[in-house]
Amino acid sequence: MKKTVSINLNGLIFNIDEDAFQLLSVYIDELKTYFSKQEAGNEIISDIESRIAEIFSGKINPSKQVLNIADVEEVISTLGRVEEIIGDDSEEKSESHRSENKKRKKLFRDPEARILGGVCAGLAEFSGINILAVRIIFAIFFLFSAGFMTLVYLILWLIVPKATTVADRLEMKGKDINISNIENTIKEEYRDMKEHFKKMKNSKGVGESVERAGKTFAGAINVFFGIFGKLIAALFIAAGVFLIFILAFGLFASSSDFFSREIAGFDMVPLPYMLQMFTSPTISWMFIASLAVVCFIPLISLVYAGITMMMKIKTSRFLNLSLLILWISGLAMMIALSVSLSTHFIGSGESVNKISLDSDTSKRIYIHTIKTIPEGVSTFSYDVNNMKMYRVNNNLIPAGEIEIHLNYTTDSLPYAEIVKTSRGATRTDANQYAGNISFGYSVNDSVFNINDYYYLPENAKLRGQEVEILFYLPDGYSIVLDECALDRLDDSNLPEFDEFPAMKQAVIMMHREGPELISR
Amino acid sequence: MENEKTNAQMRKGVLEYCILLILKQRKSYVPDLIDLLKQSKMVVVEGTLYPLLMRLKNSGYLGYEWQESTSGPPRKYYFITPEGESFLLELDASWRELEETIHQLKTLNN
Repeated sequence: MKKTVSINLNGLIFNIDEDAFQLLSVYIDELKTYFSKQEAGNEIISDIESRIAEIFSGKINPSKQVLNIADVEEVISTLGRVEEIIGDDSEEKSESHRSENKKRKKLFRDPEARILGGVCAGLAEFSGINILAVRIIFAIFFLFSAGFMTLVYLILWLIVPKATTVADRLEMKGKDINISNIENTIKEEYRDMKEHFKKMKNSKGVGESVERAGKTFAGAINVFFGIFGKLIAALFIAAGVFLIFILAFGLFASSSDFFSREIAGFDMVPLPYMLQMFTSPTISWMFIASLAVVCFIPLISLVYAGITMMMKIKTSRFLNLSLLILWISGLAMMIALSVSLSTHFIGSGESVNKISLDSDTSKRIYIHTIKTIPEGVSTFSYDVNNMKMYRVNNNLIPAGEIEIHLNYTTDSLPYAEIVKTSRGATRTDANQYAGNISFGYSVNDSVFNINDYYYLPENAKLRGQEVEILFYLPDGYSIVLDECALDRLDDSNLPEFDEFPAMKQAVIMMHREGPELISR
Repeated sequence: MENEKTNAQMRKGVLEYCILLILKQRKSYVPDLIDLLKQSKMVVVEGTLYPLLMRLKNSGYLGYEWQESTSGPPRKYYFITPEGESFLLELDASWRELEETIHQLKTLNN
């Protein structure tokens, strides 16, 4: 199969093979540059073009509709090469035309000698360095530049044009684009092809030993690159398999509670559990599936690429495309699920309890925290709102640390507010979530007992629930906090706290200007 | 190389004369002109002829007219002008002189 070009010569349309077209257009261009220096040059050109059209018309018949290179060559030999015309036509101009034979080379990718994109071949042609040397240099950089060279190669592949036409190839080799060079190149290519076929046909012949020697050399190079290519392929496969294993472990092995705790020796909330804290089991499994697709497909492709390189099979376009589509849909699903989950966090709501506090004669209130998680029970920290999970009979119960704030009030008596907040799809939804938070406390004279954690009801979804205790103290009242309460205290307005990081107990007195640490 | 050049120059000088001779007999289409000249080995490549014809035309020795062709677009037919004919007479004269000189030189040698 060949591509054809349609041309208009003196008002007639011809279909012409692409290579033949290149030859012809270079020929006519050469004539133009030469005759344009003469008077009535355009007329000469149009005369010549109409003559070419006439010769071509004679070549076309119902069984031959496309002009080929032989036809163009015939035209050139009838009309004469530019050198012949010049030689006959003028005496002095012939010299100027032959100068500037050494043209500057242009960088192209050479598709004829390519392994991947022909970048190395093109660079070798451009720089004059042996192609093998260039490839070895590239290969070494590939291995030691941590991906940087891959990027360089890909960028070169993108920006350096491919030498598709004969003219490109001549420019690549720094040869003048004129008719004889083009013809030589085309002939060379043709001969190469012919020889190649000949070799395939009869590998046994007279020059067999010579050929064999050549073949061994070529074979050695082939083997070298074969091994090298295989090395890269093996690297791809190994890296892919390794990463798949790591990821599978991260995604699923850790999901198995038993594995992460008993074998790997670390505590973490298994991913499915974690997701189910936020949403329904169905959606959380859908999320995990799409996450797996998004993570695994690139790795599978890596292994697949390695295998195709190793076995020298062509990659299936269908497979590539379907992997891509699968990956994109996985990503789309992940994004969609994330967005839909985030809509459950739009509304905010709260529930507030106001408690009057008694004090002893010295205007002191004692805060006593009650530990609710027994010693030895394993807890997992969870990073959203400092939630902790703790395990009771293989159930994970979410528990959150309360936060204590100290405020000044102009009221005559102290009081506390227990503020439960939550997010939700709507305000009502959020209010409901906030109301469902259970937090235990009791007032016993001047002692205010509080739990160290608040809890969410069983199967409640995480919506960023929080519990804060706001103490309002009039001027001169003080509050005694135990170790746990101090840990939960917002001490941003108590600069003295920085000096004493680990206090067992503290007495803080409220003034009009703010709280003050008076003893510890 | 030098021999070739001399040959080519000699042919080129005579070529204009030949063209005028042919066109004096009948107006011609370039390819026909070329066929005739090729038979007499005066022309190697057609391309040479186009600039030559153009030069003769611009000097006023030749003219051309378009004629409809049975196949394809109209063709350019060259014919000789009165100036061309008088130029041809000049050339005739110088050709005869040349012939005589050459002949004389050749017989002198013998």
